[in-house]
Amino acid sequence: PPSRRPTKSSRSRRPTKSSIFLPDELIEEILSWLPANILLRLKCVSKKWHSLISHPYFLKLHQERSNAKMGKNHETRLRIFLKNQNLAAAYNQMCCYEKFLKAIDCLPVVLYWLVFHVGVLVFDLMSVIPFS
Amino acid sequence: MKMMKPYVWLQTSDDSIQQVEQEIAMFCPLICQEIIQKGMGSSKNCAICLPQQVSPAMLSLILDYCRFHQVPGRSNKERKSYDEKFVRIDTERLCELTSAADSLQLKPLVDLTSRALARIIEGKTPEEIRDIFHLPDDLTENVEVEEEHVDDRSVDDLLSFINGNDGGKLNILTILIFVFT
Repeated sequence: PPSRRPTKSSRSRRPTKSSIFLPDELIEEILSWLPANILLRLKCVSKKWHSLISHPYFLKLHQERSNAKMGKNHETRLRIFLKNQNLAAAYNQMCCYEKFLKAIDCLPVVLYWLVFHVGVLVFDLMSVIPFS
Repeated sequence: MKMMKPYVWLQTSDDSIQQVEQEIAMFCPLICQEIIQKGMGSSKNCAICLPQQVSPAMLSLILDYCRFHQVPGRSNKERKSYDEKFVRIDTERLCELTSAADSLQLKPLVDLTSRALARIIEGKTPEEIRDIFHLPDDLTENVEVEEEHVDDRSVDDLLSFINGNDGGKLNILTILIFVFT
């Protein structure tokens, strides 16, 4: 029968420590999961990371991740909200909510870039403001 | 029963060749492309050459991951708890795994491992992070030098610099810039 796993000898063969090198794309991928305040701190790790984190492409990737995460939170909040309120009131709220979400989508990348550098999480602030 | 399943031949970075179940290997888009577009992997002589990043140990881990998620009918909770346990390995291996999964274009695993690495980074000092990713400490020195340079200038120096200028509008502008920076 064919072997499903590599043999023991090949399993024990491990590359040396210094051989693991992650390309920039993967570093970006990893960093894009972190909140902005941590990223600001990570800028001082090395020149390479400083330029990676400051690059417009990375900011765009990070913005997409944040938006996706926020969308999920809002969805759950909305569900709880609908459960607790009567339907008519909930419907009105939902309309406001959609407008609010659209407004966030319209925030230009430039503004995001500015906000990012000042270290203020505009999205967190906005979610604190009541939407009605 | 096992003999009836279609198998595919894979060659790892150490040149060793092994047979794995085709339906599991097909989870990796890179392997899938090789099989469908190039007709590779059907025998030992035309084994699919995997990228350099995929060592036998990493391939074994990746196939375990694919084998688990390939089974239909598992609940989200089951999958989530498997994933959590799956990435509980040392950081070095996690980096290796991220790199191997990326080379096979296995996006869900790249997301999983990069998230796990992000969580590790979050609690580490810059020094520890440099150790993990083998990064040079080339920024701290420069920043320190810059700061020292700024500290050298006293307020008196700055004031005399401002007063010594052409005066008038330029002075006000300089003071404004000074205040805002």
